[in-house]
Amino acid sequence: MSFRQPIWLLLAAFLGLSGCAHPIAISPNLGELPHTANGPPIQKKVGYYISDADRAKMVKSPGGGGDFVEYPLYANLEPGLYRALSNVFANVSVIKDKNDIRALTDSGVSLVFTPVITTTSSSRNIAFWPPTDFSVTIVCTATDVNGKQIWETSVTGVNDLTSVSTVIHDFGVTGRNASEAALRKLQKALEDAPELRQ
Amino acid sequence: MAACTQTAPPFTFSPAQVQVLKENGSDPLRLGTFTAGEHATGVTGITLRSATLASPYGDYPSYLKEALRQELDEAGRLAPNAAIEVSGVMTSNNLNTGLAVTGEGELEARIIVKRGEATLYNKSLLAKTTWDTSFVGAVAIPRAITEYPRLVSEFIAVLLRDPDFLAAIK
Repeated sequence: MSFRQPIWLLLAAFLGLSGCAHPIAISPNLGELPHTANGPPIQKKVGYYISDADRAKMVKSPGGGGDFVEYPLYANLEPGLYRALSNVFANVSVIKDKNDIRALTDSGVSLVFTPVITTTSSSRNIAFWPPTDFSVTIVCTATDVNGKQIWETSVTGVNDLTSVSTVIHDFGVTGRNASEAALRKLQKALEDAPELRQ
Repeated sequence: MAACTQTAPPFTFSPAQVQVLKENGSDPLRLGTFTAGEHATGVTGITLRSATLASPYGDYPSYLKEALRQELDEAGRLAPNAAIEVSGVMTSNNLNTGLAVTGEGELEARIIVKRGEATLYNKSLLAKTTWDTSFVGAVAIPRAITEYPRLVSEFIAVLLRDPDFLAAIK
């Protein structure tokens, strides 16, 4: 190995061009999902389930210049999911074990929502790693306390092409915008589903 | 890209902590002033190597106030005319990106709960967090930035684990 190789590696590391993963936050601004003026329309107690593994999981997706961004996807979106459900149902709780039928029945929960969340990201500028484009897809199922699926939806929020001058001051802005868009669509789908009102 | 001012991510409430507030009493609460203590560090901006991290809410006492506002509001316990007031004085607020392995966050503040002239709670609390960091600034600085909301959430978790606080706001 020549002495030049470590120097180039060090230089690449300093410039952030090493293919490394840069942490960002994509938590939605909940001002974009305000409480509904007349309270939640459906008078039910519901829960949602996110596994501890998903809550702790760091997701990696592409940024610019061959680099990646990473973020705790479920942990970042969980408050937004809670808010979207709270805007539709009178009482929302966090479910620790969705297979514990007795605990679900005793707590009065009638529906359990389980989200599966995926993302895409990219940058149109090779010189900067923060993504200029981002999408968030939420596939959400609702089951009754016996585990029978009664509803499912898939929504995608997209943030296309935020300028580099914006993303270099707010690394996670495109992810945050995409999260907010996906959660707004999820709330609308919840509001519009007749199955959830029965 | 690192030698400039960045903005900390906005706070978002913790559903688990909202549940604690829902399950521990129902008295409505209002928020009073949240200020910086004398000789407080990191309350207007946090230094991260060559970058400065600004608060999206003006300063960091206001960040803590906003965090508590969100959690109380989500739990349905926030009311502008409530008899019980929660206020705070921030005395320390720092993120240390570290140089190799571990980054550290530290937030210290005194929280005061009053009903009229009666003080129901008055304690200084300290929250600490750690995370894996990197020698490379392009990794270490963004990672420290994303850690700030978790530090504030941890401070509220410390507060909600104190039975004296829960008794004061019942």
